[in-house]
Amino acid sequence: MRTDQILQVILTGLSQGGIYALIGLGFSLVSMSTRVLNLAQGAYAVWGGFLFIAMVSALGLPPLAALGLAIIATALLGIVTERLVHIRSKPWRPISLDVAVLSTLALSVVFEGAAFLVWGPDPQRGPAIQSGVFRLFGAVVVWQSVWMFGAMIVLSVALHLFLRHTWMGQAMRACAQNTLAAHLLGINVRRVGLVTFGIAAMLGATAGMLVSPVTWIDYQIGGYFMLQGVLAFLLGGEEEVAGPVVGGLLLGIVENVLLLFPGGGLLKQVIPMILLIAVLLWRPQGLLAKRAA
Amino acid sequence: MTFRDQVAYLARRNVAFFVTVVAYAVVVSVMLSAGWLFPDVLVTTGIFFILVMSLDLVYGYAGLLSLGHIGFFAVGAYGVAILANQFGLSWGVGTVLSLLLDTGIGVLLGYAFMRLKGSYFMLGTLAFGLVVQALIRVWFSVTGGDAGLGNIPRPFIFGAEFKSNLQFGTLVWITAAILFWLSMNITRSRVGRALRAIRSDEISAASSGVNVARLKVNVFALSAAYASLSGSLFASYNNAVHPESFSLGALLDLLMMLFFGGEGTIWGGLIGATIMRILPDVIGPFHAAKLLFSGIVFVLIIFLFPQGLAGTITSLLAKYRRSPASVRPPDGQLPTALSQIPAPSGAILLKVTDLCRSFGGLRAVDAVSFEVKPGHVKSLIGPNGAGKTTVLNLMSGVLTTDSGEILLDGHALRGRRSDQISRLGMQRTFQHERLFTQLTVIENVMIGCERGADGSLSELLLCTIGAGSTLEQEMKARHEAMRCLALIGLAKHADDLVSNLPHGQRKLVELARAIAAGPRLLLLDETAAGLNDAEKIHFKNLVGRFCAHGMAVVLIEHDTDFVMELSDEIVVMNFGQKIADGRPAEISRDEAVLAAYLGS
Repeated sequence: MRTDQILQVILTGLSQGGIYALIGLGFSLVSMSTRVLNLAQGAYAVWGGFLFIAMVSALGLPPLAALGLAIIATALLGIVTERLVHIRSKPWRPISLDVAVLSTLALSVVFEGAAFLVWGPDPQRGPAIQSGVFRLFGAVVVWQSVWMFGAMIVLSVALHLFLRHTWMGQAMRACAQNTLAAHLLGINVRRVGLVTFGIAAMLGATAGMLVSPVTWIDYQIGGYFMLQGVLAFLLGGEEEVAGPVVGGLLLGIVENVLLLFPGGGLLKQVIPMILLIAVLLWRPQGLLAKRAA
Repeated sequence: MTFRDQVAYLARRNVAFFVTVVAYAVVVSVMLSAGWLFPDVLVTTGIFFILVMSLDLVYGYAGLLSLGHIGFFAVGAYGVAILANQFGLSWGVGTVLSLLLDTGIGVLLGYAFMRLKGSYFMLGTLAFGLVVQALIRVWFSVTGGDAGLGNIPRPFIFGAEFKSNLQFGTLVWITAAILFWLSMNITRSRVGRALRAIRSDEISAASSGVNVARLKVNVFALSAAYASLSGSLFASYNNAVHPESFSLGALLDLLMMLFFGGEGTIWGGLIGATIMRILPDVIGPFHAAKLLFSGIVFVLIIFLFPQGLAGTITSLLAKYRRSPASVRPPDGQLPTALSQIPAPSGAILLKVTDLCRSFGGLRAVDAVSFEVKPGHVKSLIGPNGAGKTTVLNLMSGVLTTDSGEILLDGHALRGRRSDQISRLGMQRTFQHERLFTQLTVIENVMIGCERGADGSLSELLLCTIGAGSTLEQEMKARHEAMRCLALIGLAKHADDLVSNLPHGQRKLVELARAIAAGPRLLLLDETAAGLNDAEKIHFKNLVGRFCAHGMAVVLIEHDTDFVMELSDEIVVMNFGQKIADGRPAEISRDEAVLAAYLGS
């Protein structure tokens, strides 16, 4: 194995891991502030990708404008999810987690079915933000993958700053610790929930748009995105921003390194699962999270 | 136990099974002859009923919402298909081998995921299901990838080949009926009760002696076996397997069957499976929108109809059902558990030495030592936050001890799990009562009588086949629980749901549950707090009677007069430390105690 081959694999892994991390961040954010695990997270990526493609190719909008509009439109899906999941809950009487997770699962199927009706069964390819390649120490790098990785870094730093230094971010973390107490202190828990789901959906949409030129998008791919996001989130653990980022990058690199081996396509499906079980047995809280007292 | 008792008991125990089978047979034959139901749909309904049962066992009873059962189902189906295509093995051999594989995966995943709380368990199992599906799609050379596999043999058992659909349908429904009966056996047994207790409150179940982790793993594996069998039948019936049958959409169908039918009943799955199998024929013209349609239906079920059809039927029936007359023992009979406690002797029963526990920087319990003799009442008193409840939690294994020793009759308790400690003869009540709210009063007490469930495989299997010995145990436990309730004075509430009782009575139910196990040491955490004066006198008499049988009691209580009258000895705590230990008369004169209570 030559070094440029290894470098190639790691670079590809980082860019793919960036996508997993973006989806994992959505999981982490929602689960952190509302305790719900949002299985519709993959569907946001699908809708983000499809809307982006439709706006660029069918409406002929410039890519940057399409990007913004698609993100905003997908945020609405996130808001719909939140309204439905919490339709009966009150800050002092939260709904059961089982019901919440099941309803997000049902919603993800609704989104998937709607995407099927609108865009049909065939995969579509989105336009790249920047096409072309360049060479880095002998490895070929696609410009799009730089955007994938870069967007993840920028967004996670922004998210970290948002959670630490803005009122809304602090309120989210407060809701994560104790929703009832947050409510009693005058935080509008419902609005915090809306913002959380909205941001999560935007993160998912970004991931979908960036990855659409690489993997193409079809109505069923949400399940795959969701799985990768779940793995990234569980591997990294309950550390709000760093957890999914580390988990996602690790997952991306491991998957691509495995492709170097014979039968890599199979290993790529099996090894992450084994890795997950190992992490759960060895560190049930994930790689990064502090051990519970 | 007379023969008549046994027959009556068996009849009562199996009534739900027979009623369901007969009612279903009648409805189905009417629908078949009217042409509303196709025989083909009926066969797949049987197969999916088995799958729904497998999910209901883990979710409806143990409360573990597995989103990975489609994975077990797929392993069962592809196992048969691959073994037949690659090695030419028959259906029977393929089924057994995939069953073993699935059960093995079930045990492994069980151990890995059991420690995951709530939604993390769902995510872990979901990841498993998705990985199985991805594997099927990618491993072309073996699974046929997206094209799937064909040429799957039909079963050939004892010289009979189930070639025609009628024969195969008969096989499916006989299998389903047997598995249904076995599942009903579990739900009516101590294991079923322990599972519902786990779903209701894990900590409390463990403190009552239920080996929570082992029981969960066993049931998860059993459920994987059910799903595997269902998958093997599915593959053989369709003569083909295809990844589409194991996708996210299939998971949703399965969940809809469970929730539409009603979880936690087993028979609800039969209704759910039937309706969901008939539905595609009804919405045939809108095939393109099927996914959207099922998603919307599922959302509606979850929000409008969470109990499902079975839940609705049960609550309708409850209005007309006369309350089952729980077996009433002759008046004045004492619980046998009490007489089995060794008579008081001079020896020390419990010895706590230098017990410590910190939460972060706070030393909640700081080098506390005391001893308890059999037949004595030792009270722990002290201001709020003195660490009294923490001491109880350390003793009963609910919290882990930082340092120090706890010896119960020579057994070191440190490092043991709650259920092990409970089985060594220590029972407790909780400051904020932790009953199994979904169970009736007598069921709560029966958990105590049986000291929970040890979670062993033999226990599970005996309960599954409904062995005669389990039947006898069940009757014994019911009698004993009635005696305990009669002693506490709650016999007339035996068949009430715990959630319908007022606070004070719930505390007494918790007491009954604890003494039903015949503990040598009973820990009472503010059990008398909600009682009125008359009830307190009754409570005091009860504690006196327990002690007369040799039971030792450790009591936490805030009513000082009450404590002074009841206790043989008192330990006073403040800021995690023991500041006094002695007879009530000494304690009431102790200067450190007066300072702590009145301020110096």
